[in-house]
Amino acid sequence: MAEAILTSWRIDLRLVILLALAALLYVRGWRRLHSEAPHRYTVERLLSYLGGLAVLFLALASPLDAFGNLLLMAHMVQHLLLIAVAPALILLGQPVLPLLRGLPPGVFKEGLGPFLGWHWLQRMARRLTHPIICWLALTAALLFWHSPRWYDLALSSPGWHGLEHACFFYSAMLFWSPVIGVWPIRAYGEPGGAAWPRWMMIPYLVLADIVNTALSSWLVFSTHVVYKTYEMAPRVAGMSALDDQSTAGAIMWVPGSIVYLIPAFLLTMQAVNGVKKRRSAPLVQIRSVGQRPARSRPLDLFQLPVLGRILRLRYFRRALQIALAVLAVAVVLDGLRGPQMAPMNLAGILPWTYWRGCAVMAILLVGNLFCMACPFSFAGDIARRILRQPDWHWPKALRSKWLAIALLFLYLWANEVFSLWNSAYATAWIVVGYFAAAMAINGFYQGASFCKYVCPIGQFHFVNTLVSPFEIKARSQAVCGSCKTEDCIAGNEQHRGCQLYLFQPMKAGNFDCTFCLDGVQACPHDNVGMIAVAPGSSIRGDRRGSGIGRLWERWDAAALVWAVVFGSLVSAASMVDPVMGWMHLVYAHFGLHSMLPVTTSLYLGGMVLAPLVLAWLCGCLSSWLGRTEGGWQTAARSFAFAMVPLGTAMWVAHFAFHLLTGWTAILPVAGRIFGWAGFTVSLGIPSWLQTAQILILDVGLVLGVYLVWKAAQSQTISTGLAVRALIPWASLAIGIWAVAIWILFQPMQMRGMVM
Amino acid sequence: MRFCVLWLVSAALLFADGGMVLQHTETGPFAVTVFESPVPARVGMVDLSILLQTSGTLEPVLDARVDLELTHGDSRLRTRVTRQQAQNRMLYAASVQIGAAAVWHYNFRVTPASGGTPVTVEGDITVSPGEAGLDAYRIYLVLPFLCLAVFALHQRLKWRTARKAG
Repeated sequence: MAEAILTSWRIDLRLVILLALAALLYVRGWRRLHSEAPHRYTVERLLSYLGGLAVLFLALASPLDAFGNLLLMAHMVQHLLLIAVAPALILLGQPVLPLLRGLPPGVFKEGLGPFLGWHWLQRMARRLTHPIICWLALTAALLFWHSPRWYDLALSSPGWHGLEHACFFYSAMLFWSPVIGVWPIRAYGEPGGAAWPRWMMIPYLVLADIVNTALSSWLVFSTHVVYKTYEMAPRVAGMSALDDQSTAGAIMWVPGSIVYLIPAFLLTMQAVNGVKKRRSAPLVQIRSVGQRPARSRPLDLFQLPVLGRILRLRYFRRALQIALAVLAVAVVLDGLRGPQMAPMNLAGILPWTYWRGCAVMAILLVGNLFCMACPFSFAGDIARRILRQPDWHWPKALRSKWLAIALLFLYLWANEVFSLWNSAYATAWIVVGYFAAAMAINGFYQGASFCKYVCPIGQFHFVNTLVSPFEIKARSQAVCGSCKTEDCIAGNEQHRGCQLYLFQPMKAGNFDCTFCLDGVQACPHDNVGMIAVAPGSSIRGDRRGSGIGRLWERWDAAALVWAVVFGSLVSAASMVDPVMGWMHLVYAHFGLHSMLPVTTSLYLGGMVLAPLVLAWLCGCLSSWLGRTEGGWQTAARSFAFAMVPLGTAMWVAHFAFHLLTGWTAILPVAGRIFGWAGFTVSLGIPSWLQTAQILILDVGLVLGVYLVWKAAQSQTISTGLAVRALIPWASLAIGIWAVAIWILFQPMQMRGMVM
Repeated sequence: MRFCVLWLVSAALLFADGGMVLQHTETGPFAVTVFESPVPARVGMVDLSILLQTSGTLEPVLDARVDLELTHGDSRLRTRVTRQQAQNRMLYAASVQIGAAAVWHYNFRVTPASGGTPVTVEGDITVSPGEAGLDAYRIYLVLPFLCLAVFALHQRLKWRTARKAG
C-alpha cells in the first residue's frame, strides 16, 4: 500500500515546463542582480523562490493530488501548500525584478516596455494590490470554494478543480504581497507607496486567521459530512468520512493559524521594539530596469561545448552527406528491385514519410539541415573533381528562381497526378534523376548553380528557413571590417568559399543559404557562427543581402514564396476527403477519361491563378488604402514574404501528420529486408497531434500578421496609413489560416502505410 | 511579469485530476468502487477506474487482474484495466475512446491474483454527446486573435509614447 501511495505522482509535462521556465528566468535575472547588489539579492532569496516553485510542484503533482478525491485531509494539505506555503516562499524571493531581468533584452524592452509604462495598468495594479482588495480576495476565495456546492463541483470536474486551485493560489499571492512587501510596492509614506503602514498588517493577519478559524471549526465540529463526494468515496485510510473531515478541519485550524499568527507576532515585535522594517524595494532602482547592462550574446550553436565542436569538425558535413547518400542508394536499389508495394519498400517510406517530416521539423527547430546533409550536392562535388572544374558560367537568362519555381510546381503536381508517393519505382528514378542533374550542373558550372537556380527542394527550404530560429552569420561586423582576405567567399588553400556567393558581412537571412559551412570553415578569424535569431527577422524589412539583392524587389523570389505558401494548401487539400470528392464530381460531370485534367486544374488554380488574383487584389487595395508608392506590384512583392510563416506552418502541420502517424512504417520494411518477423505497424494518431497542428498554424498566423504590419509600416508614411494598408493582407493571412484549419479537420488519406 | 508567469503556471493547473463515484458494491471477497471521469462522460476519451478493497478490512487489493468490457447495441469495447494507467496507484484505470452518445453497459471482470473465482461488477454509464470538431478546439482557434489584440494594444501604446515624446 505504501508503494501505491508513494508512486501516485502525476508528472504533467506542461507543469514541469512552466515551472522550469519560471525557475530559469528567475535564476538568469537573479545572477545579474546578485552581481550588482549581492546584499539585496541574496542566496536566501534564490532558495526561497525555488523552494516556492518546488512546493507548488509538490502540491500539484504529488500523491496529495491523487488522493485529494478520496481523503479530505490530503486535499486540505494540498490547499494549505497552495495558499500559505508556495506563495509566501515565492514572494520572499522578490520575484518581479529578477523575472524581468531574466527575460531576453529584446522581449523585455520591446515587448513588455510599453505595457510597464502604461498608466492604466499601473493604476489597476495599485488598486489590485491595495490591502483591502488583497484581504478580500483570499477571504472570498476561501469562503466561496468551501461552500459544499462549489467544493463538490470542483471534485467532480478537472476544469473546476483547476479553477479552484488557481483561485486559491492567485488570491494568496495577492494576500501575501502587502505582508511581505513585494517590489514594486514602495514603503508607506513614499509617493505612490503602500496604502497602509506596516503595523496595519497585524490586524490584517489576525482578521484572516479569524476567518480561517471559523471555517475550520465548522469542519471540525460538524456532526455530518459536509461534502457529498467524501461521503460517497470509499474509505482508504481506515477512518470514517466524518473523522477524515475533522482531521482536515484540524489541519486547516492549527497549521493554518500558525501561518497567519507567526508573521503577525513578528510584526508586533517589530512595532513594539520600534525596528523599522528593512526596505523591501531592491537597491537597484527602477531605472536599472530600463538601463540594462550590455546585451548578452545570442546563442551560437557552434560555441556550445560538445555540439559546437561536432558541428565544426572539418568532415562533419561530409559525414552527414555520405550517410544520406547511402540511404539514397538504398532507396534507389530497393525502389528498382524490391517489391513495388510502396509501404513495403524503402523508396515508398523513407522519402515520403521520414525525410519530408524530419526536414520540415529541422527547419522549425534549427534551419536548413536538409541542404546541409544533401547527398545530391555531395554527388555534384564528386563530379566537379572528376571533371576538373570546367568553370562554365550559368546562363544569365536562367539566373533566377523561375526555373526552380516551374520544377517545384512540376514536382508537386506530378506527385499527385502520378501518385509518386505510391510508386517505389518512380521514386527511385526521381532520385537517380536528381543525382544526375546535380552532377551535371554542379560538375560543369561554377559555384553551386544547381542548388541556387535549379533544385526545387532547395528553394522550398530557402523560403521556409526564412522563419527558422538560426542563421549562419558573422559574429562580429568589426572583425569582418578588419578582414582583408575575405576567405568566406573567396576561399583559401584549405577550404573553398561560399558557393552560393553569400558574403558573410553582408548576408541577410537564410535565403539561398544551404548551411554548407564552407564560409564557416574558410573564415580565418573564426567569426562565423550558427546564431539564434528571431524567426522572420530577416524579412521584417527590405535589406540588401549579399548574393540575393533586395528580396522585396525580386519578382522571382516573390513568386517562389507564393508557390510555396499556396502549394502547402493545395498539396494538403488534394488528399482530404471533401476535395477528393469534389474532384471526382467534376470528373464524372464532364465525363472525363482521366483525373489528369481535374488535378492539373486544381494545381494551376491553387498554385498559380489564386495567388496571382489574390496578390493583385490585395496589392491594389493596400496601395490604394495606404497610399503607397509603386502600385500593386510593389505591394505584391513585399507583402508576399509576410505569408511565409503561414506556409511553413502548414507544411510542418501536414508533414508532421504523416511522420507521426507513420513513424513505425520502417518496421515492416526492415523486417522484410533483414528477415525479421513479427513487426506490426502502429496506425495510431497521437491525441495531441491536432492541438499541436492548430498551435503551429496559430503561431504562423500571429507571426504572419506581425510581418504584414512591419511591411505596412515600412511602405507608408504614417501609422494610420499603415493600419489601412495592413487590412487586405491581414485578411488574406487570416483566410489562408482558416483554409489550413479547415483542411486539417478533414479526414486525410493515410499515405505510405500498410493499412 | 509575475502575474504573467503565474497565469502560465495556472494553465497547467486546469488539468488536475477529477472523477466521481459511479458505483460502490460488495461482491465476492471484494468491496468495489467504480469511478468515472469526466462528469458527465462525453463522447471521446472517458476514464474509468476501479478501487478494489477486501470486504471486511477495506485493505486495498493491488495485485488483481481487471478487464473491462463496454457494450452498446452491437458496439463492443474491451480493454485491460491496470494500475499503471492510474494517477492514484491504488486504483486500476483505463482510458476508453467512446464513439457514440448512449447508455453504455460496463462489465468489470476481476480475477484475484491467487487464482480464485473471478467476480464481475456491472452497471450503466451515460455518455453525452461530445463537443464536435472545431468546438473542441475553440480556445486554440481564438488564441491567435487574442495575441493579435494584445499586439495591437502594444503598438498603440508604443505609438502614443512616441507621439508624446514628440
